[in-house]
Amino acid sequence: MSTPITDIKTTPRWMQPIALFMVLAFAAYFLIAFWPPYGMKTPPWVSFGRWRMFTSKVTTHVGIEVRAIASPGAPPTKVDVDAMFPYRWGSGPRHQYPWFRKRGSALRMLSEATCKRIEPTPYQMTVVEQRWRMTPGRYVQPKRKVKEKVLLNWRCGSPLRMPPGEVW
Amino acid sequence: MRRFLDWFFAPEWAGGWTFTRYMWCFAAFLGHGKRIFGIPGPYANEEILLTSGYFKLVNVVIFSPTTAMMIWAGGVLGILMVARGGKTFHLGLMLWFVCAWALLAQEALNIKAWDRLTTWIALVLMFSPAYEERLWTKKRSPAARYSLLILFCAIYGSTGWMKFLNEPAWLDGSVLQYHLVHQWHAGNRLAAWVSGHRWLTAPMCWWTLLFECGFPFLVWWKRANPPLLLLGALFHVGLLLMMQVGPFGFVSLAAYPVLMHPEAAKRLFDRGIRRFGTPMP
Repeated sequence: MSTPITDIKTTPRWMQPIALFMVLAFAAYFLIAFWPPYGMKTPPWVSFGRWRMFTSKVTTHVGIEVRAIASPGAPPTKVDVDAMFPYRWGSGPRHQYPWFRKRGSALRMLSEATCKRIEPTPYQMTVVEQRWRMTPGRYVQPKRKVKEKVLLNWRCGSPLRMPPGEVW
Repeated sequence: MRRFLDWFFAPEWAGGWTFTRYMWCFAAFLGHGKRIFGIPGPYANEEILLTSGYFKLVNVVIFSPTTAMMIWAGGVLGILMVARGGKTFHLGLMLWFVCAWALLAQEALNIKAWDRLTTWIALVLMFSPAYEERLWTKKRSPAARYSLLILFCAIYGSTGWMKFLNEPAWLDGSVLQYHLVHQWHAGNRLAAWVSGHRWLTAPMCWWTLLFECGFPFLVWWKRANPPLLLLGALFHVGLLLMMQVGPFGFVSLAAYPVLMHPEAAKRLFDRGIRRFGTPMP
């Protein structure tokens, strides 16, 4: 048994050349978006049509750790920022996103926000990037031979330029 | 030229658009719905305001939790309007777009692949017959379907060919061994177990490459179209089972009823009617 077709229409004749042009332009846009070599930085209007998903082999975990220094000379203590700012952007906390890690302005915002949430307010926050090797076959990934790089030392209470937007 | 245009715009069975409409709504709700847990948070937080990214919205307006909640609700309303179809369909798409992207602009991170794909499919839906009722009794212009095919050829083709041309580890299977234990994108114990066995990850890599690189060519071929889409569906199910990539799989699968060749899709639909009876409104 076949469902009867009772209504047949297509693009009006006068609109067909326009529709054809739009479909071809759509195809051309994606060809343009694909064309730049892999790894090349592209403008936003090109990036929006460029699809690069899990292309490269990545063998290292990368994350940030935030440490509070209570007073000058005191040893740093780890702050659980993942618990403090728990929203997960897709599968991880927002501040662990690579883009966030590479932005000084974002790290300063995170540091100052962390300062305000700790009682008493610490003297300084240090943001450290950590890298350690992935281990295939292990559900709980061991954190061994961690390489660290200090991304930011932030004195709590330092002036921070906030965006000028109005709160609605 | 006239004959070419008559051939290009020959009407096709349009029933797939109804399924795509509902599946898109489901996927869009998965993506947009959970944003409520980010209020306050990246969508309404006066502590961490990011001014980088494409929009720099916080230089103009910063959402309070109440405003962010209203915008979120507007997006949900938009999705419901799309699901309802008819006169509310196009307005619903626009409402969802404005609300979802307002929150994304406030979050100011780079745009995730599933956000982009949901938007691209929404753009095609705007020009499609998906708003109509009882599309399984209708034939409509294939132009929107061609656009969706071009979109998916671009997605699968570009990501596949970039893998093939730029990363040799896709040929020996080692790349998936590491992706499956990624701290943010890895799935679960199954993924971790699979990652320890290259005899499993190697054929998975080859399947990925064959599917993605071959899609732009095979999807247009009537005979290859249904089995190719079945492979694609299994590919996305595998991703859902083993990785965390948000609702990307659901968004992709939403397009499959239209990507399928209309004759094959109609045969499948008729078989479904014979077995299950009443079609949806």
